[in-house]
Amino acid sequence: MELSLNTRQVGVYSVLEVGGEIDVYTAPALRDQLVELADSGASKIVVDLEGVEFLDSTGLGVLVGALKRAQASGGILRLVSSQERILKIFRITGLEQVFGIAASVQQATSGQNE
Amino acid sequence: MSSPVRLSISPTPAHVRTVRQVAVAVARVVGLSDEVIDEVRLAVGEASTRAVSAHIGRGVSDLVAVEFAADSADFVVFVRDEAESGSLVAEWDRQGTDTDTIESFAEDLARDAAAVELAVVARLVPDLQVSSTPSGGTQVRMSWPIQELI
Repeated sequence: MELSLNTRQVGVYSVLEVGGEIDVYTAPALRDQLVELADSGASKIVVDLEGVEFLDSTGLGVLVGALKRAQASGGILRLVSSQERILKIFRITGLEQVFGIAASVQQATSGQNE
Repeated sequence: MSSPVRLSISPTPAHVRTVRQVAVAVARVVGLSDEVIDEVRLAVGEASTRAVSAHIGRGVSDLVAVEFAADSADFVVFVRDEAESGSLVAEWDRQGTDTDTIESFAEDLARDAAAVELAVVARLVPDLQVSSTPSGGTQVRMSWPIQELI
């Protein structure tokens, strides 16, 4: 499994469901999808990483880029993950303090993480 | 496991995944725990990404070499590139494992991906050495202790 990307709408939030492995090979497709979402006017974006089996620093770079774009335009970008192996890379890089990481899409879209 | 496993890959992003898969397979043969295998997968992936990106960035078509070896005490992985990257080794000698702060990490991701990849490796690998190869490339040596299986 390489990378799957599906977008759905939950209230005012655009939820990008990501599955598979995010690395130097697949990260460009994720970046393109996030740029496309932002260009289409989505200002509240949730990136659901529950289906992600692997995430490396290249993938983190794409997520940081999307966060910066969202913040620059007054938007929001949140992440969803409850998987220890994914949360670990955010922890060791200190990025868990930069991103709002919710345990579920429901939590990310309920406004509790403002 | 007494006999090493060696892998040579074209500097192509798709093959970084191949290296990760081999790393997991070899680490399982060695008998590392699932938690350590996850660290091996991420660290070997980062080191290979750095090597492949260095080749692509400098237009070097030579193969990137990855070697796995184990003795009774340690599981050792070497990733060697043929790209000129003396500045990275110099930076490593200066900083060692004293890696980035949180704020600079996000900035570094945009500015110097190679340094970030190595910083991630440094946080995962108990014993990490970065050196120049005789041909002018970079060797990243990563080592994990093999716990006694009782």
